[in-house]
Amino acid sequence: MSTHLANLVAAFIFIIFGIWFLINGIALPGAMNNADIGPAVFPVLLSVLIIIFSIVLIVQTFKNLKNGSNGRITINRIFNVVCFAGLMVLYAALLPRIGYYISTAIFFPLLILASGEKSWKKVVFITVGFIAFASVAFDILLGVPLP
Amino acid sequence: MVEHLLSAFSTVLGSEVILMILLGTVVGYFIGSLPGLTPSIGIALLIPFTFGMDSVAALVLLVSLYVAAEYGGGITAILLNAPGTPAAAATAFDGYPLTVKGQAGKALTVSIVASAIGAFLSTILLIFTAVPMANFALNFGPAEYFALALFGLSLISSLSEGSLVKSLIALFIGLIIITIGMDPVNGIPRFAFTNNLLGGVPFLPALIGLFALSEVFYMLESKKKSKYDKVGKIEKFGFKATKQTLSEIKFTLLRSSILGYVIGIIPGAGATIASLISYNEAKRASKDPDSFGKGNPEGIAASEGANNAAVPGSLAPLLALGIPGSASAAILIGALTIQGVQPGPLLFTDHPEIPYSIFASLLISIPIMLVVGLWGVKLWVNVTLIPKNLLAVIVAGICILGSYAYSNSMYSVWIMLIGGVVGYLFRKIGIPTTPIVLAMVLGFMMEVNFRRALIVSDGSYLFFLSRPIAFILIALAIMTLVLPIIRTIKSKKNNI
Repeated sequence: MSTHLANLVAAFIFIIFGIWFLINGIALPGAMNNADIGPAVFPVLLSVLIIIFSIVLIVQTFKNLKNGSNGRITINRIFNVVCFAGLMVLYAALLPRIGYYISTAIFFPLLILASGEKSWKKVVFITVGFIAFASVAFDILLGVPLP
Repeated sequence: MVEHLLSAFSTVLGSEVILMILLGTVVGYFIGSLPGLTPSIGIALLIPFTFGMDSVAALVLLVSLYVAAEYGGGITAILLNAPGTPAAAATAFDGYPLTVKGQAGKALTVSIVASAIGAFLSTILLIFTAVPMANFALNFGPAEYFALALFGLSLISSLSEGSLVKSLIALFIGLIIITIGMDPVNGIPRFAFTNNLLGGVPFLPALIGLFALSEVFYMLESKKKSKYDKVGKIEKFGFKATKQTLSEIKFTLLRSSILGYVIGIIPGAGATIASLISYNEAKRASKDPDSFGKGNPEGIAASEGANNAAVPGSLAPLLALGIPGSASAAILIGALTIQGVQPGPLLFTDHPEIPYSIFASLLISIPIMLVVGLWGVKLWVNVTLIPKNLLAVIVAGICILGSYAYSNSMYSVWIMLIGGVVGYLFRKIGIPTTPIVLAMVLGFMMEVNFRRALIVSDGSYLFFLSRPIAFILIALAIMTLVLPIIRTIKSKKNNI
C-alpha cells in the first residue's frame, strides 16, 4: 500500500473516531457547579482537535502527492503476522475458559509454528519451559493466581 | 545528624540487615524486570513477610526492593522493548535500538551505572535536604500540578519523530483515551460502554501492548536469513569503554539525578514523569539531538538516572511529612504503620533510627545493586542470541502473563492486545507511540488539577498565572512547545 493511501485511510478513521467522541462528549451532563468546566469540555475539545489535525493530515497528503513524493508500506511475511495475531486473540479468548496452563499448552506450539519455526524439539522445549517459568515465577514465588 | 547516621551505619552493617539488602535487591530486579509487575506490587507482596521482623530490617528490605525494581524495569526495556515498569518507558527509546545494533551490553551497563549514580546522588540530597524539600513540596497545589503536567506534555515537540501533525494526533488520541472511565471530579461515567471501562484504560497493559507486542509483530516480519536468525551479535563492553562513555555523559548524569530527586519529592509526580522530563532535557541539551531515539547512551542515562533518583526523592515527603511521594511510598506507609511507626515530622525526633537507617541502607544497597547488576549484564545479554522468531513468541507470552498479573483480569490482556495491534499499525504508517505514552502518564493529572484549580479559585483562569511556580512552569511549557516549531520553520525557509 502506498504511504499516501495509508495516511488518507488513517485520517478518515481518526475523523470517525473524533466524531464518535464528539457526539458522546456533547451528550455528557454539564458542570455541577459554576466554577468547574464540567466532564464534557476536555473530551469535546480533544475530539475537535483530532478532527482538525486529521483534516490537516489529509491536506498535507494531497500536497505531497502533487509534489510527487512517494513511499510504500509493506508487511513482510504478512501471513505469519496475521496468523500470529489471530492466534493471540483466540488464546486470550479461551484462556479464562480452559485455564492458563491448558490454553498455553495448546497455543504456544501454534504460535511457535506461526512464527516460522519447524523444529518440534524447539516447540516442545520452549512450551514446557515457558509453562514452568510462569508456574514458578507467578503462581509459586509471587502468589499471583493464574486462571 | 552525623551521630545518628553513624549509629545507623553500625546497625545496617549487621549481618541480618545486609542479608535483607541482598534479598531486596534480587527480588527487586526480578519484579522490576517483569512487565506488568511494578515496584508497588513487589512491596505489597513482601509486606506480609515483614510482620515478625525488626522494624529496621523490614524497612531496609522494602526500600532495597524499591530501588532495585526501578532499575529492573530497564532490563526488559532494553532487551525486548518491553518496559518492566512505566518509568522505564523512556529507557526503551534508546536502549532497544542499541540492542538491535548488537550493543545490549553497552546499554545495560550504562543503565545500571546511571541508576546507581542517580540513586546515590539523590540519597546524598535526601540526607541533607529531606525536611526543607518536603516543605517545598507542600507548595504544590492543583495549579502547580496542572502546570507540571502541561510542561510534561509540551515535551511532545522535542520528543516527536517525523511529522509533528501525526505526533499531535497521537497525543490527542492518548489524552482522549484517558478521559474514558469515571469523571474524576463529578463521578459521572464517560464513554464507558462496558462495566470494565468504568475503571478507565489501564496504563501499564496499554504500554506493554504499544511497545512490546508491536515489536513482536515487527520481529515476526523479519525473514530468516540463516539457520540462526539472532537479534544481534554481542559486542564486548568493558571497563575502559564504560569509563569513556560515562565521562562523555557526566553532565547528563548529574542533571538527571537532580531532576529525578526534585520531581520525586512532588507527591504524585513519580519516577515516570521524572524519567520523561529528564530524557527530554538531555535531548535538548545534547549537541546531537537527532541521535536520540536511535541508540544514544545519553538517553538511557537520562531516563535511568532520573527514575532511580526519584526513589530517594519520594521518601523525603514520606519521612518528613508522612505524605507519600509515589504509589510505592504510599505502601511503605503501610509497612511503617505495621511496625508501629508513624511517619511525619516527629519521626526524626521520636524514632531517628528509622529514617537514618533508611539513609544508610540506601547508601549501602546502591553498590550492592551495582555489583549484582553488572554481573547480571553478562547473563541478560545472552537473550539477544535467541532467534528472533522464538524471542517473539516468548515476549508475546510474557506480555499476556504480565498484563494479566497487573490486575488479575482478562480486561488488561485485551487492552494489551488492542494496544499491540494499534501500536504496530501506527508505527507502520509513521505515527509515533511516544506521545500516547506521554498523554496517558500526564493527561489525567492535567485535567483533574485544572478543574480542581478552577473550583478552588471560584472559576478564575488568572489563578494559574498568580501562582509563581505554576506561572514559571506554564511559561516553560509554552517555550518548550513553540521554540522547536519556530526553529523548524526557520530552517525550512533557509533551505528554500
